[in-house]
Amino acid sequence: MDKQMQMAFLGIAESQLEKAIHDIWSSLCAWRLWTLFGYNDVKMRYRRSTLGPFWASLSMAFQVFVTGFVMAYLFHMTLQRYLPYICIGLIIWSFLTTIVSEGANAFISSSELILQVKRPLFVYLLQVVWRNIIVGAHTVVIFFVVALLFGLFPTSAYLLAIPGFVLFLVNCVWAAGAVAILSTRFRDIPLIVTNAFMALFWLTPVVYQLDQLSGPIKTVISYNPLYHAIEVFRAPLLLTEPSATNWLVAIATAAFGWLFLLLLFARTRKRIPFWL
Amino acid sequence: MNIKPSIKASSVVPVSGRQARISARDLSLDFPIYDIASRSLKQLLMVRPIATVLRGASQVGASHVGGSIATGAGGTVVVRAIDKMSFEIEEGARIGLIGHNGAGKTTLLRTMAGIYEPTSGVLETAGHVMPLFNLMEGMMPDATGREFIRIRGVLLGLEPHQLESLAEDVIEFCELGSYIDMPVRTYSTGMLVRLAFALSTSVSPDILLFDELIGAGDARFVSKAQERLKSFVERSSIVVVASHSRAILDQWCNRLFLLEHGKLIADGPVRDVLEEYDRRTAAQNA
Repeated sequence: MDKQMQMAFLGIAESQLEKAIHDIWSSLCAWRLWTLFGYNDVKMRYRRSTLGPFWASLSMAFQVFVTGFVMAYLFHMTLQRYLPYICIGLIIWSFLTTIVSEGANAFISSSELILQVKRPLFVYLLQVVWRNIIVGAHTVVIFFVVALLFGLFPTSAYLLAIPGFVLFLVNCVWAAGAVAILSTRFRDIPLIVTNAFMALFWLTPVVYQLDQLSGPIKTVISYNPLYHAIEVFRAPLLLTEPSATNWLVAIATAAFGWLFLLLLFARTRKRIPFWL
Repeated sequence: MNIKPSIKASSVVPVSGRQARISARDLSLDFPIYDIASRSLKQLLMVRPIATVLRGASQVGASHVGGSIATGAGGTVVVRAIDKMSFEIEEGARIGLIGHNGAGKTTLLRTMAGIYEPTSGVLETAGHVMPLFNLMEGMMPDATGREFIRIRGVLLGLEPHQLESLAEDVIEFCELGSYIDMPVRTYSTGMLVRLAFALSTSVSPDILLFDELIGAGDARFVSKAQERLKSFVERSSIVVVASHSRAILDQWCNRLFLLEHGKLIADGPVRDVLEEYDRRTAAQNA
């Protein structure tokens, strides 16, 4: 009874929530579809280039070295400490931003397929996720090279990076999903997202470290959930341990984010084909 | 609702089992139309409070004007694309949908396919539905013919071992030779149609939905295609085809639905409904 009242308050029929969850579940089960589609996207994007997806690695390497040298000079930091940090930071940041901003077009760019056959909608989002995991796997190679060059040899601390990555990915997916739905309805959202990320880049410790800050700005930035979501994956790769706060905030963000996505999806799922 | 999320089909054995059936009672569907302006946030923020953001234009109700266009919440235009249709389609039915442009043929097909969910009323479907609205589904210009077959096979829900026999069957039928390993963007239109046609007709659904029937390619291929199309259609228990062509309706259908402004005006044998259609067209022109 209580639950029904709450759902009624939010304006969502319970069956809609069930259908939304069913959509996500059957999408996950259709892994053959989104892995093939995501893989094909990457293959087609680089089809006629010589380096293929290693272009992603190359441009990441370029970006890391240029930013790394300039920033190390500005902050008077030793490259040995700084370069691995900024390298993995930029790789994670670009993964996050591409997954969310490409997620914005997940439904729009698949509109032909969506209007052709009844299929769970989440498939098209997972396609974007998978495509970015493939590209991300090519860029993260740069980090391992840099880490070895600067003497960060893998230890058992790396193991924590696995749950860290999973948690980070879970956060990326809800954000991409929410943006995908809202962008289909409001075509301004992709542009807003791009701009928001430009601002967030400087409000998130990626090219600088939180410890370099002090005073109120440090407090403000330490409230940024993006920082915690990134840190649970980044810290283990730099052979440090994420703090309990990092884990808690990242988990809480994932929980609230997914709750938001589920409610949004329950409410909009049947309208998405009309919006295309 | 009994619509399966994915189509299970096989290139060799038809998958059926249950009796195929489509049944509708008071089926209605409101279609919100978003132009560029009403899609943008600016308009939304200026005219509507946030609370109605996602409700969009779901209510038509009292403001429903005359024909089929109404204004929903916040000024979004709503078209009642399907208006209280009721029908029963049993096994063996070959239904043709006729009506003027915008009468609701495509929307009805998409609703039968489960792509659009009804606004009110009931639509029940039993059997595997396969819509064939776009032969080129899943086509990427840089993919090779062989890759396209694979993409399409996975789209159809085939298992890896079925993909092999699908590829063999399709390659043999479309006679593309070594072109099968070239990117599809290098194909001529005729070659594309051959490949897409061979792929689309390689599985056996229970319920087949067409938006205009297929037909292209060179003369020799056309007769070969006709044969394949015929056996493809015969394998399905229910076929629904929207068409303007009398030849197609005469050849393929045993029952017609006449649609007008989203309403089901007539439902009966081909000859009777065509007569009714002609009478109405003549009356409108007079």
